[in-house]
Amino acid sequence: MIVNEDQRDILAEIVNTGIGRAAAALNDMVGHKIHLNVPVVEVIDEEALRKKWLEADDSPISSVLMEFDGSFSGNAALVFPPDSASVLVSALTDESPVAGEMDALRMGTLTEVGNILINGVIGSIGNSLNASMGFSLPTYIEGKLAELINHTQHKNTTVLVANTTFSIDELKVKGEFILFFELASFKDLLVVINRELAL
Amino acid sequence: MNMAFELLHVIPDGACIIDGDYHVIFWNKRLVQWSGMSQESVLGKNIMELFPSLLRTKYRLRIDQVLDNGPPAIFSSQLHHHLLEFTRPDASIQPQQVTITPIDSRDNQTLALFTIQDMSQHVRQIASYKKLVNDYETELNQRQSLEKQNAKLVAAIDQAAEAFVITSSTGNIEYINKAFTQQTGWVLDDISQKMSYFDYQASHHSMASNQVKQMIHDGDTWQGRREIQRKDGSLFSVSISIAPILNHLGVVTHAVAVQEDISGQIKLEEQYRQTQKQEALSTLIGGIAHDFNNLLSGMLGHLYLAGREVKALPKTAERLKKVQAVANEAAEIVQQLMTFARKDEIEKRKFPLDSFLKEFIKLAERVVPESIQLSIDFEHGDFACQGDAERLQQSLLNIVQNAVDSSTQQEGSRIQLNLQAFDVSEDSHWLVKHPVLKHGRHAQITIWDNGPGIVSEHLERIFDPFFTTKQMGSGLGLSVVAGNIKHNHGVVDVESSAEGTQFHIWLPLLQENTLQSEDPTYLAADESKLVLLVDDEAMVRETCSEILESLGYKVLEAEDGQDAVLIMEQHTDDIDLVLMDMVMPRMNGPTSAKHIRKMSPNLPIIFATAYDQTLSIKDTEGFENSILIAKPFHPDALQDMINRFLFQS
Repeated sequence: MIVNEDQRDILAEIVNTGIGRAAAALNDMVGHKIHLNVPVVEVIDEEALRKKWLEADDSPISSVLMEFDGSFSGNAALVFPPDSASVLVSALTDESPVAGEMDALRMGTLTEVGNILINGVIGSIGNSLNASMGFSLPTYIEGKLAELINHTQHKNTTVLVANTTFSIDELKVKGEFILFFELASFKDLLVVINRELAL
Repeated sequence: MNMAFELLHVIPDGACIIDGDYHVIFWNKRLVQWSGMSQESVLGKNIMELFPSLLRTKYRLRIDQVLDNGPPAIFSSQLHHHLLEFTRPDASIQPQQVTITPIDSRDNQTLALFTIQDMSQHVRQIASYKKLVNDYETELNQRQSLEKQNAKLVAAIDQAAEAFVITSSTGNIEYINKAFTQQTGWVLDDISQKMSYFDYQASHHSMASNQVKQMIHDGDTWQGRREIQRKDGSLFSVSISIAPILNHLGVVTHAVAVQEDISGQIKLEEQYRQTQKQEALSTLIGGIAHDFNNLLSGMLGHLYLAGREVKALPKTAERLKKVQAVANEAAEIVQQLMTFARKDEIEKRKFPLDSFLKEFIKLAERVVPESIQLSIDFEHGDFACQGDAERLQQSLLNIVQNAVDSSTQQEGSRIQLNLQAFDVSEDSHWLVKHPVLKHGRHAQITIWDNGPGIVSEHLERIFDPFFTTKQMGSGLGLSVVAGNIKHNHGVVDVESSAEGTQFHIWLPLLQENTLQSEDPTYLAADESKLVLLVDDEAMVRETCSEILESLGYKVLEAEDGQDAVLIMEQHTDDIDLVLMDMVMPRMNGPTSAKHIRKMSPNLPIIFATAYDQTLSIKDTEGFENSILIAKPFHPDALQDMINRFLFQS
């Protein structure tokens, strides 16, 4: 499967638009400006991705993962370093930041945040590509970044990964949106993208 | 009813399903239990009407999104607390996490499944956990604060200038601070747990120490002075304050002792006592000397006159001379006592101390036998000073004589005399003892001998009058030295050990190049002058009058100052000189002199006193052409003085 530059660019633009809308929703929630970086889009083997992430960063993460399917399928994750997750939840609930592990209430809060933002991103992408989508319930996951792949449905496959980092400077919070698109649905997605390019 | 829906009755969460018009089509048993609303009363009803808060945009939009087959929506308990308001038995509102998921109906309509999770248990657990954490943090903060405070206290005690010792209730040392180590040389490692603090105290305190131990054991405090043994075995004096440390039950577990080195303070106290003693002796001796002076004045006067009257009787004249010699000796002794008591006059002259000492050595060689090696060591420099050289010579000779006396018994005896400028920076221990040395330049004369030394019990008494260790000694030698040196505004001190004795004398030095030669010219007598003699002591007045007459002067006598003024009024132009006592009834000497000076401004006045001259100097120094002399005075000296004044006028 080869993704050319044009396809990659339009995919990055679509992802960027979706994440931009999600960032606007997060901005409304926390009342601080969200700084977004340009998405990095790559096609990579799942095992290679796991190895790459293991080598890149072995730090623990707090994340919210949602599965989507329909015209194309995959997973979307909102990932934070635990400290940033804690600060973000505290900012939303007007509590003092709490060190240590997240409790059930705070997990619920972060899950709702992930739910809103991922809905925004995927919903926006679906609208852009005029595709109908189905979603699973969001799941809160703690662990290492590389372990996140274990919770997705596309083991031993090649995936298209779109990765966007963001930060809330006033709260010293940083995070990451990661979108995995399954190979099986990839062709369909490219068809849709090609249709868009043709327009 | 759909079978799948029926399953929702057995889940632990609340579940309800609404259709696209918000009508409730399923309401599980958990919700019946939580809401108190039966299925019949809810089914078919608009959920927005049942729970009006759902009409708020933030809820309705997301519910609509689900009903539009959009993604599921989660409402967390922290951000919303609850979506459906259920009151719990304790009247509080149930906290909930609500998930709304789209599901398809048989007729392809999108329904919304509300799953409501009761978060009460989580909220309680988390509140309990937070309280626990909060309590722990508070305790941790308190502990850290206490630790900081303790560290501060420990640092303060460890670095305190006073020694701190913490002992067990039985006196065993458990802690000593740095000051204790500095004072004693002991470090904590040296101290066995079995070693009691009281073991460091001198053995003669042992009985009292038992009482102190008992007092501390009983919870009382104790303060006092003790001698403590250093690691090198030497003893030093300390002031100790011991207090018990009680536990929460009021039982003595430890004791804390604060120990201050008071060796310096004790030295100062001893020095002060010594000064007080000397002052008391001075006062006593001064009073006795005054009375003796007056008696001797009369006695010597009469002896002088009797001697002139019995020239024809050689044997009687000879006897009178012998009596006069004895009386003169007595007067000399009184003079020495007056020197100690600072009651005689000092003749201050400027002289170079180094030249003076070179001359003195020639004199000293006469009293030092050949068996003793006498050496000198002078530092070059300007040693101009002012004082009574004769008395300084007498003092140095006294010290040298003592050195000779202590050295003659042994072979290889040596006496050395040093002169050097006193270096303030190097001799700081003398500055502590004699702060006066801080001001101005001083010469330091040291007379050292390698005799057996002076025993420590005698050292503090050697300057006392009549204290002697010699069988034939008068005990006045060193007391006269002390008096003389004080009169010269100097300081004398002594150091002694088994290796020998050192007397140090410090004398104030003048500014450089201030020496001027003083050559007093004594003039011949002028015997045709009229002297007004004023003294309230009849015997002194009569004797003195006879002496003056025998010297060829004419004399008018006055009984006191007032009488003198009356006589002066009658003989203003005739009187050539006034010889006047200082202390008299009705009108004293200085007051009378003021009246006399009004009548005759330049009239010479000789003030005489049997008291401390230094006390009278201020009263007489305002009078030009006057002098203050001490009684008794020798007739020849008196004649010289009168003639000098009369010649000047």
